[in-house]
Amino acid sequence: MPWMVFLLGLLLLGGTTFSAQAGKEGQSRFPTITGPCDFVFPDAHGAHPDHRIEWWYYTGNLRTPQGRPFGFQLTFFRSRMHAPGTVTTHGEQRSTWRTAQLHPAHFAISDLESETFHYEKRTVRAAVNLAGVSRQGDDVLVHQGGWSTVIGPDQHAIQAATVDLGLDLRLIPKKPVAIQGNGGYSRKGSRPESASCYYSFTRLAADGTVRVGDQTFPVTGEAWMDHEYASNLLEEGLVGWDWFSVQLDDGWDLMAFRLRPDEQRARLGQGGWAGGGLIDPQGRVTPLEPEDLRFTPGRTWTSPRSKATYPLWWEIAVPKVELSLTISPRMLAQELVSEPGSGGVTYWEGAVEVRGARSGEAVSGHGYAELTGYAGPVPLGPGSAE
Amino acid sequence: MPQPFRFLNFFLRFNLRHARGQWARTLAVLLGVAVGAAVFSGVRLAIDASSRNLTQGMDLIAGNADFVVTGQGGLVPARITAELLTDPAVHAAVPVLERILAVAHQPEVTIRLRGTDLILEDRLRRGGHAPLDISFAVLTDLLIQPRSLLLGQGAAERLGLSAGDTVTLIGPSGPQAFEIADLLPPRGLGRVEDGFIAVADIAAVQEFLAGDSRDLADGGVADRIDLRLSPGMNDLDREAVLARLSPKLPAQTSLAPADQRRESGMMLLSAYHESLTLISFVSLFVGMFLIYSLVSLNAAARRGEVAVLRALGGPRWLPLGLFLGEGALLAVLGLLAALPLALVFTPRAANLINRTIDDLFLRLPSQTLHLAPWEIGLTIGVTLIVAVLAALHPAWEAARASPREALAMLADTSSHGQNRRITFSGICCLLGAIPLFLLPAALNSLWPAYCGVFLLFVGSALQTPWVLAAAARAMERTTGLRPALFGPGVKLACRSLRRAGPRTSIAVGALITALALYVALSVMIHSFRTTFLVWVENTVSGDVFVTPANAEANEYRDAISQSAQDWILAQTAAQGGQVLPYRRAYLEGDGYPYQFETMDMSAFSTLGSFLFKHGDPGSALPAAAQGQGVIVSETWAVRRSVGIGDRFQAVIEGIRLDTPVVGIVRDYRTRGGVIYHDWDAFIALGGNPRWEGVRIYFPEADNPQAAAARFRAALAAHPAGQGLDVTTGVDLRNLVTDIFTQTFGITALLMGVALLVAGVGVATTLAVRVLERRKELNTLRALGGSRGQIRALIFWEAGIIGLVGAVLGLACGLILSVVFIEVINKQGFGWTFVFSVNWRELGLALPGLLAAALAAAVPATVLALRDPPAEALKER
Repeated sequence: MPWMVFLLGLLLLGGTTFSAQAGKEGQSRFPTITGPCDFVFPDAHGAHPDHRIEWWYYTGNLRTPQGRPFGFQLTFFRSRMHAPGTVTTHGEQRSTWRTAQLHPAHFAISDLESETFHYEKRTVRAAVNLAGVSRQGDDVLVHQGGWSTVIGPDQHAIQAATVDLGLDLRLIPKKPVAIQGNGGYSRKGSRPESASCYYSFTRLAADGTVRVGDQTFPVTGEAWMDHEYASNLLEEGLVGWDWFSVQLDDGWDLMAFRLRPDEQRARLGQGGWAGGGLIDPQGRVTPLEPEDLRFTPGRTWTSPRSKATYPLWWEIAVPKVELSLTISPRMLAQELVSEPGSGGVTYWEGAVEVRGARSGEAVSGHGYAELTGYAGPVPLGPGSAE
Repeated sequence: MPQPFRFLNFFLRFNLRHARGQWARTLAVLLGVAVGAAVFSGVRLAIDASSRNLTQGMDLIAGNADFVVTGQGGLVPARITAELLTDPAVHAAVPVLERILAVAHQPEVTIRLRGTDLILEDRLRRGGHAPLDISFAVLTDLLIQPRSLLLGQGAAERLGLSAGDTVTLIGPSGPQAFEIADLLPPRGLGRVEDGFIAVADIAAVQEFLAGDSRDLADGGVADRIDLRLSPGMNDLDREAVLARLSPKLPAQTSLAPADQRRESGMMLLSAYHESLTLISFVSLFVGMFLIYSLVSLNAAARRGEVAVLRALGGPRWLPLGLFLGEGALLAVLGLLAALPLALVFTPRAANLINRTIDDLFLRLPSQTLHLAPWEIGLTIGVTLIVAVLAALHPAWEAARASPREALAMLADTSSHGQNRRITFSGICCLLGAIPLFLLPAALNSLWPAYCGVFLLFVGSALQTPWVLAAAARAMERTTGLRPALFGPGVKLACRSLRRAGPRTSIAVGALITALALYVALSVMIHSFRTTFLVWVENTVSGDVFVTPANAEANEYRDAISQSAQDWILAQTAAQGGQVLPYRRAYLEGDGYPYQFETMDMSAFSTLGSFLFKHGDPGSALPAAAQGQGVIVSETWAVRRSVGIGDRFQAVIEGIRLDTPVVGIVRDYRTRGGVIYHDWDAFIALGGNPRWEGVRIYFPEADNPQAAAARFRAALAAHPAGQGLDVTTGVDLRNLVTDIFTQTFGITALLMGVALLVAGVGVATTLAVRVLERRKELNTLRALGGSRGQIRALIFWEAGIIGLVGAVLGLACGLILSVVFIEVINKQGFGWTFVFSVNWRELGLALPGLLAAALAAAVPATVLALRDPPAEALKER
């Protein structure tokens, strides 16, 4: 999950000459992450505005009392358009509309029974109360327009609404916060500074409502939350990533990702990265290194809208814990399409079913998958920003 | 050969052979038709261009906006954008801050600088007819670089600039350089103002326009917030959203459909467009009359040929078709001749009309002429139809007459009974015109008034037979007292005119129409000029006028800076002058835009004056000065049928006003009219005391004009004068006068054309009368009548026709002038003038008209004396 946001942030900034130059010359002006993140909660739930990119990311599988299934995604991004301290204004006058931060947000509902997918993307600046992150006592409020999440000590309250869609959930953590990587330091490449600070709530009990059109459904289920931030650009030669969050019925959770190199590098066996975390039912996290994971894409689906071909079926294995999983989509068309020139990314993000085995015992569950870079190369790195 | 081709072959030989002998007259008619068609198409294209420019321009500016939040008085707190976006039904909410700004060192070039939240603007416009059409990368560059903008290609080409260059714009606080991040593509928003537009982030524009930090606090201000609701909502859903949003808005704002401003603009222009449409049709009818005259003449001249055709068995439809075809052919050839004229006339007409609208009504966001194919088809179709209708009467007469009647060459006469019927019809027309003149106020349209004018002309023309007969009788009696002095010609002319038929009446009717138009327009223009000059000198009083640059174009949204105010106060006091600051808000109400102006009414009553139309100045001014009422312009009052004592109600800057109208004044500042409120009283209610303009007076100066010129030069040279327009009162009043003078450009053209056509009509009618009475005239010659006596007869006829036309025309014209002033101008612009006649000007015109009528008789006399009597008397 973090990858989507990480690279979305790059896309927001990637085309600008200014940010390209900042990437080349000004990267040192953004703070870098080279070690443990020393999270202190609840402060850590708030924004880290000096970093280039940040997100609060919710996905989940829900069902009505009658068993009607839904999937959802609600993501709040923050991206900084330039390194701290570089803004100038007209002399002493400074408009309160002037800001370094943009706040995109994505909201999607997968109505698995009717096999319809609904989504909305919007971006505003963090100024004049259009969007922002603030503390209210022990709560952290992240909002964009009328969409928000309130992260409290005992629950998260998320809500979003458009004319056609609505989501209103209380999410209660069933496990303690999972600090990914090494104290939150999550590597994304061969260089030490190619990293983010990353923590997750891997299992949240969801209770609330979903609205599709004029119909409102009471729902319960399980959700997953990621909070991640970073500044440094990804390494060259990456064209996309595949990310998976898995919640097994036996209480184990898995976060796994891989970054895909371009064809040339792939043929030479160069580039790319992988990683993840295995979270036991008590919430203990076992970080996974690239060598710990095996990804095998299976059958594909071609989007009639974007014409991209996504591998929607996967085999993921973690040999060291004798875990092998088969990932299959709960619905095919779960693609968020961005118009050319809008600054957004077209990607597939949707609810998945999971089956497999661990140590010979059959396991099953559900989760979410995020697949990017299949609708065209995702612009990455300083070279592509020009 | 098929019958149609046989007819065509015969037609060409029948008409072209004759036309060769009448080439001068035919060419004159073709020219008249060409001018008529060119004016018709040109004016219509100009009307279409102005409507389209207004509509498309405002649509381009508004994008996909469904609704707009505006502030009463012009400004909106921009922070409410966030509140609006919390509603799920709001797809996009965009704060917009726009100014028309001059370019440094290029004072004749102005650019519309548009500041918005570009991310939200992109969302609002995406997928619509006017997308923002810039990449996200460029968009974020504008957010990052504080003094950067996108420049429209029209402006870039004009200024010789490209991406990476800088352009310096003059703002309220002075010049500011902006880097051109990129050029706007010439589509969507880039087409506004024909590409003289620049787009920047709202933060950059707020910082550029801010007078001080208070202007930027708490989100600052915007001109408006454009709203786009989620696509696919039906009207009921939208109404529900509006009901939900409206209570959330601050008290000083309102929510309205995005096209309301366009609709109110179109309403403001509707009467002007109706007037222009009428002018376009009048020009065509001028051509129609010329065709009627020529075909009448030809039909009369060729009666013999027609008789032979009929005697040889030709059906009735043959002469009908020949002369109708002649009319149509004249129309076709006239249209071809109109093409080069239209190429010259149309752009000039469009430019003039667009400029008039810009000056008098509202700013047009673009100035482009569009030639729609259907307009060409309309011109062709209408011209052909009008030409055929014009030729119908003479063609029908030619077809109706039997061969024997045709050979007999019966003259145009009428019976007593026929005259009574004509007179009665005329009286009915005149009476029918009266209620039509009273209708426009109720129907909000000028067409009833124009129909009334038409009935007035027709009714007056239909009085011709009895007036002509009465004049002829009177002339016969008068001249009969000294027959030796006047000769027999006058008696014969009088007797002939006493029996004059419809064709003569039509010619006189044309003369009446032309003279009536001339008299009416002359009186109207003189009345206007007289009243207007008094207004300019009294109400637009002031020796110096200071406003932020392009204040009118920017609807007075900016204020004069504090430093400039301080300088003005100090300098004015040092020179013993007086300042009269004012504020002006642009509002809309009852479907029309108008202005709300605050100034010290007590001071103004000593430094200038209003021209009261209704209300007592002695009581109205003190009441207004104490804030116990408002003084309104006639324009505002007429559009809303408001009178003294009625209430003016509005919410301005959150201040709820409900105050009586204590005076209605003449005011020729258009754009919907003005409400005058006292300055101190409005501030006491909570109004903002900022100066949006100031008049400066030097009442004690020996030479106020020189003092004004010195003041102007000093302020222009001082830093405080940066970003200000400083105009002397003399220059301003001259400019205002010139603007209004140019609006009568087309009417002056119309007056000239009308008189010319009337002269041609008289000439043709006299020639036709000669042709019809050839036997009579040549019998007189055979019996010893001299050439001089024949000439005298014809000249007396012309003189009496001219005299009757002049008398009826004058009477009709004076009535028409009252209609123009009290009905048409009132409805069209909302104002009236003090009725004033320049008798000297009219007195000079009437003899000229008589002389023209006599001159028109010369061709008829030549025709009458062309053939030897014996030849003319031969039986054919």
